[in-house]
Amino acid sequence: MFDGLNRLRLRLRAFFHRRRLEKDLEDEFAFHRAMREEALRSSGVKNAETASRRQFGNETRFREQCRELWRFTLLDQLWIDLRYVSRSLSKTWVFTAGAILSVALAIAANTTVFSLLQATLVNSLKFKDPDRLVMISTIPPESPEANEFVAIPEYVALTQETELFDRIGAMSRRSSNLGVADDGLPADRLDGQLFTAPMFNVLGVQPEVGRVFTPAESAIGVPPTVMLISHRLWQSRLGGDPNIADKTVLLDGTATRIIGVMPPSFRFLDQQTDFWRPAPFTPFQLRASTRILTVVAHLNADVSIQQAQDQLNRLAAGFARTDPDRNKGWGLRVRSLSAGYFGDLRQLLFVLQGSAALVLLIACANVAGLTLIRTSARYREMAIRSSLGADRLRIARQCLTESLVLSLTGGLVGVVLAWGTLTLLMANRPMWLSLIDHVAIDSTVFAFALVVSLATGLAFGAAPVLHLARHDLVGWMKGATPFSGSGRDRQRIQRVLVTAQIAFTMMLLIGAGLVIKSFFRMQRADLGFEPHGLVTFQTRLPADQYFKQVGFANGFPQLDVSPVPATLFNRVFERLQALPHIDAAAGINIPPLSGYAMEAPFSIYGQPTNAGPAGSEGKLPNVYFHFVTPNFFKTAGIPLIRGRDFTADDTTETPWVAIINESMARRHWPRQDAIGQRVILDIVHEERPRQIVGIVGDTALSRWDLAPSPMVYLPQLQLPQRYRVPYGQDRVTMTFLLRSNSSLDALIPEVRRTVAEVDPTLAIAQVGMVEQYLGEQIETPRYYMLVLGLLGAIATILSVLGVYGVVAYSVAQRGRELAIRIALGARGRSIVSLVMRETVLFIVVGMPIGFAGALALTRFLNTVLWQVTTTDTAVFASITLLLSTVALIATLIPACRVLRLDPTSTLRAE
Amino acid sequence: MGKDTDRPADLLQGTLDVLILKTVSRGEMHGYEIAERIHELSNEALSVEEGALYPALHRLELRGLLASAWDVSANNRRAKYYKLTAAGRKQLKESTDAWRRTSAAINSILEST
Repeated sequence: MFDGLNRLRLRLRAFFHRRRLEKDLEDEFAFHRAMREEALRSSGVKNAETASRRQFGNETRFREQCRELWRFTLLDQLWIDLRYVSRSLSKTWVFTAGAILSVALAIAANTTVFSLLQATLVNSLKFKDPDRLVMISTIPPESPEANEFVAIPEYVALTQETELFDRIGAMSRRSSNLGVADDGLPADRLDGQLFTAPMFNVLGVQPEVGRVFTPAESAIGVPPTVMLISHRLWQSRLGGDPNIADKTVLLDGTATRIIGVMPPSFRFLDQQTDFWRPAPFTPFQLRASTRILTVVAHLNADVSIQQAQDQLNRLAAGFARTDPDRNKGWGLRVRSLSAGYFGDLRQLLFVLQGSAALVLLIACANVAGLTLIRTSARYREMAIRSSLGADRLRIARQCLTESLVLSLTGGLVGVVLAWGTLTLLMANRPMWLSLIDHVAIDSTVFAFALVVSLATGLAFGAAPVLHLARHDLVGWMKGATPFSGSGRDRQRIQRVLVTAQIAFTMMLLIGAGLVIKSFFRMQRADLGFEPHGLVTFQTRLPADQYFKQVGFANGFPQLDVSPVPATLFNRVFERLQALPHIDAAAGINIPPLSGYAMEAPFSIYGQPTNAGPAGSEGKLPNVYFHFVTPNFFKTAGIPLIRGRDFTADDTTETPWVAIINESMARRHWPRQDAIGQRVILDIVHEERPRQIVGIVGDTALSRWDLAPSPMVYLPQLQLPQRYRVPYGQDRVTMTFLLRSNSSLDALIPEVRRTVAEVDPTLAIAQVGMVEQYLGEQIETPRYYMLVLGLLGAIATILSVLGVYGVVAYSVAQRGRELAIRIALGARGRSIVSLVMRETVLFIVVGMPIGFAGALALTRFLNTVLWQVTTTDTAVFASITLLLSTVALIATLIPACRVLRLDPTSTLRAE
Repeated sequence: MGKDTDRPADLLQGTLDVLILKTVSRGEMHGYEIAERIHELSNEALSVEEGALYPALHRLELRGLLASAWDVSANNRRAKYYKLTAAGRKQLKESTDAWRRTSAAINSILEST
């Protein structure tokens, strides 16, 4: 060992100092000749120089011999091996192409997912000092995993924690109407963010034009009059005006000065933000508010996340004590900003990475099987070479070189494929990747691909090498047949490989199957209404103009709401209905299936409850409630089961009414008619008893939450003037639904005109088909299903090819044996079953292993699955059936070739 | 590889290797000195071309039996000095023993008749 190392060291030195070696050689020879010359001269020889040369001999030859010794034979041999391998690989190009493709697909999958994963790591956040940035969220009672926003009073308390954070800021979202502009451009709905003044500093961003807010511009109680806009908005709507700073525009009807433009690269959490305004907290909000803030802070240099978390736990306990109404049971959580940003996405990607790794293992097993077959077909060649003096190590090394050439070529193709996939993916970036700004195959990804390729090559190269080491090549040449020990040894390795392939494929397919089933469940879910052909758009009025804060109710700010919004919406509704091409039109404050709804406690009028008199909180479970215009149920396709719909006669002047859904009727009036009963929603004291006039079908609250919940619908005109946060916002927004035979393109201008006729400052947004929005809601699961399905398909194809190859080879190798059996009268069926028996056995062994693996691993899919358990029997059963059928066919096809075997010619050929 | 060892050159090579190891076992010396010693030791019977010594020296060095270092010679010239390594010493002993056994065997065969 030492000997070898020393030789390697000396050779390496020679390899890297070739010139010095030459010089040393020259010097050594020259020294010798000079000494000899002196000795000869002193002993009186004439012409001593020539004599010394003669005595030394052929200098060139000796120099050449020495050089030969020092040459780095390992590199030279590698070169020879490479040439040999590429020759032999190009001769069997079907095998070569198959192996390279297998590896390439697997490496492409792994590299693609790894690049995405890499892009979600800390350094991809383009903010200053991202390692020290943290996101603070609240933890709702009884959902320790969930993350909610932070309310304003708690945020203000957090800003006092200067020993934890040296900078802290908050953001909330707001969409506003821009315009109408002086030049007549129509009003435009923009998505914006409200920033507290320190936020820019926390993130370390600067505007490209102008400046950020001063503390005075975002002081408490000061209505905001300034904003920063996005590069996009500056260039598009505002025409890239170079004097944009200090230009004044109308935002939600208020004159607002543009003080700066953010660079195009800047975005925070949302895919598109067009303006940033100061978050103007009102004195009321400092006492109580809903949870609306995304809080980001910069940790002090000597504070760890854990220390911050400990302090936040103490703070949360304090909040719960001082304001139990709002904070009892709530916790606080601090995470690195990158975890807050990418946490969910990372989890999705980790599952994909695991699946891709399974595909790689299958590809390895596959190529190992093929290589083994190839190697065993070449035993004779190897035996001959070994007998001619090639040492065993050299042959093993050649096998390994071959594997590495295959895996590295496959890796290279894989990286190119991954690059293509990523380019395509980022060009039509799906929603679930919207947080990732930039993905690149950088040196880390490249190193990853290289290491994976090398490991792959070693993994599938190891099988034949091990096999080679196990038995005597010379003995094989002397006449051992494929049925002797060596053949069995090879078959044993092959069986292990087949078993592994089947097991891994099984695991992957079950995972994919669960996700696919979950997706189809989502897609086919009965939502309780008819989205097909439904057109939708949203309108919103600026809340500041129509709200006046007057006090508190149940711990929340109380508002006086102007009656104007409801009247405006009603006029839009009436005009829409009158349009010639529209069959039905209606409005609702929160779009159906948007995932949230307002909820409030309620009581049944005249029915005393055990908790206390009517009007006090918490005696009956909360119900969801919506404000709608007449005709809503007909438009949305929700069946009216009994009673009547709201009509134009249900106004502020007439008795207040309500419509409930079936769930509510069933739960609260199981044995009597709900119609005619009166309910009181506990929102504000001014809320009056409402008579139930109709019962409608249940609808899903969201795509994900199909369980029917009790729901109350109120006419949007019959609402009290006093209202309270958090429900206030819903008094100034309205989502309209339309049914029409006209195309969307024809409808939009007509709708815009109608709305503008009612109020030109009223912008419409999110115009589109309801089906399309519903489709977008399941876009991420759809992608996920496609990707996992694709991986599953690749895995299946690879392992089917693997199984096929093993059986086909076995048939080819056992040709003589089988021919003899046939010649001796064995029947076709028994021959086929003989060939198939072993493979089938190992498929049967592989299945339960895969089954067990899947049981252990599918729990990682828990967060992705919807209405499908991680151990769904139907999926497990059908995948087992599918895989066994496919594997059986892959076995049967080559096995049936035996039937076409002509015993005479086969025996002669051997 | 069997037939290679039959070549006379290889016999010569093996002998030369042992001679070199034996010579160098007396202490550090450069190529010219080694050549001179071999001349003396073999009573000038072994008259090969002197340069042939060098491939042999380098081979022994590569096999780790010799170690080398450049130094200044007695007459103030740069020369490469060789010395025996532990492995070289072991090899020399083995070769000597083997040679003694072989020659004893051959002697007994030759003398038995």
